Amino acid sequence: MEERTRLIIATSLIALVAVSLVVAGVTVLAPRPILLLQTTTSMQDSGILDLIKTAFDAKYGVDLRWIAAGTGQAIAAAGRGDGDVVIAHSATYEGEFINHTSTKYPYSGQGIFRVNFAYNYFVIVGPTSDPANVAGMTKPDNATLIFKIIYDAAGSGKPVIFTSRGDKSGTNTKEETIWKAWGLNGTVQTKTWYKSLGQGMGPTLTETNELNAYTLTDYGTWLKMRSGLINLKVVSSLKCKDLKNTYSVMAVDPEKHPTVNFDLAREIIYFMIREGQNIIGNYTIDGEQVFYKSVKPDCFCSSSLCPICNGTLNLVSYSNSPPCDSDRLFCDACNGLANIQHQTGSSSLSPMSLAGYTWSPLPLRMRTA
Amino acid sequence: MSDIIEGLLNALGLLFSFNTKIYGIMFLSLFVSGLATLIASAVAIPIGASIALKHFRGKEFIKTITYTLMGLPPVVAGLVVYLTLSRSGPLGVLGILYTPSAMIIAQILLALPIIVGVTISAVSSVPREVRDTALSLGATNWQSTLTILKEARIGLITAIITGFGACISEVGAVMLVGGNIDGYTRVLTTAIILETNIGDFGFAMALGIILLLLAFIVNVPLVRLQRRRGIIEKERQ
Repeated sequence: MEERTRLIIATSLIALVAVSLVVAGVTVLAPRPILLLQTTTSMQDSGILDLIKTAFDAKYGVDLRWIAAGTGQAIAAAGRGDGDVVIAHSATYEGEFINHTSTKYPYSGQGIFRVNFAYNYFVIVGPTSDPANVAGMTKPDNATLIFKIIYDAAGSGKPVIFTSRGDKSGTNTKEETIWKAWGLNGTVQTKTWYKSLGQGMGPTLTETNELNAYTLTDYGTWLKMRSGLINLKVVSSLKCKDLKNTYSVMAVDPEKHPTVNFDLAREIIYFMIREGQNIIGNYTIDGEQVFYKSVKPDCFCSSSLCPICNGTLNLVSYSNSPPCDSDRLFCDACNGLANIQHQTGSSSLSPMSLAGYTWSPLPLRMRTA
Repeated sequence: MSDIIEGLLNALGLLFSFNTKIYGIMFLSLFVSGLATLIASAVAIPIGASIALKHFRGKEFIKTITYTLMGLPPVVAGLVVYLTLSRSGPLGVLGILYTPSAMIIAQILLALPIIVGVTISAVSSVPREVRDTALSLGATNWQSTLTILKEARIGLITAIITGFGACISEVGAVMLVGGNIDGYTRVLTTAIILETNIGDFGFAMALGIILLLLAFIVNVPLVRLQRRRGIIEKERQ
């Protein structure tokens, strides 16, 4: 080999090693504390997480990172301790995740402190030609009925196709719940016009567009992608009662996984039900609301580290109730350190502005004696 | 068709846009795949050469295993690495899941069998006479092995190029073990998957073209190294 070539190779190798060391050093020496969030693609694709991150990072001087996958994968990974906090929208999976008496799945009982912080609605989209004639309904605000109309139309030979996420996601679970209402879950999946795709919401919508099919989608992903989905339109109402899609945030139980950053996880849960509520309420795409504020605590764990209830959730009502007519929730053990306000539909009062009630500083890790 | 043309134009636009995010993704792709290829080559070429040169029982079996592993689906390798590096896994204490280190490890595992396999093939094709001639001229065992490797240079560089190609185009494994975290573990391939999933095909195409360009730039010096420096070539020059 020529001397010059050898020199070039040697220099390149040394340069590469040097750069590697520098990069490695930089990443090790200047880290902010990392909070790792396992979440679903629909949460990520809506774009809200970027806004949450900006505010949260700034407030606490940390680095919020997230992995977006299907609900099943997110919860399974969190259940293995590969994350500090989870955001999901499947009541079934969430309930299992914080259920400390269950050993049904590997992720059962691996989480604590579940708080519901936002909701929106699924919608049913379909081909502009609408072969099932959903448009024939006077008021398409009953999704369960729309599903039956699609099913019957397909059965009677109309060119109806239905696509499903087929990936055990929150959306998929919701879809199956509706089929269950007719006793059709299990049957419908065997039909030739039912396509189970096993994919995320984005690719599912793309394929639905190509197939001129009907499908269930969350509104956020639809808003983001609809300009490219030229064959599809929304066929249901925008706020079907039976298509409510609630998002919850949960922490990974530090008793089960001692390495998780539980203090920071708790901070973000509180953040989501305080400042986060304003971010959520103000977030729009094309002027349309993507999420609605909702603060409703759910805690069924019996972990001694649960900062809300240290056991059971204690509901206390006040006779001279605050203007928004809600129940105040106090944890006896933590002496009012966790104040969570149930928000009713009409009220738009921010929890922090309530006269006479102030947010107390958050305690560090609490342990019972 | 229009998406592809849009992609080409987008690619050129992105390259000269001084967009630090894109440059960061490009750098990370090169860094992860480059380092993985280097480490894998350093380990794989000696292993491949030993397998090719030595005679031992089960040689054919080892070769078959190696060639089989060349077809290992990258996402399976990723799954294995994920389960190992997961907090609940045996090496969870290292805490390197969802970091570039995990991605490098996954790509090393993928590139290793490929580089070993091509090395075996390259070294086996060197004529026996080379070794005999070297030994008869007074070379030590080590020197004669080096001579054989020099003769197999073209094949060895092909092995490295192939290994690098496998690394830089890999998506399933790095998605699993890296997590595609924006600004930290996002590489070109995972970015392409993300953009494809949200339906931004033009952007995805552009990233793909950038990836090909990067691979091309890396391969230029490697192919150069494959040039024969024989007497005939020198006379031609």
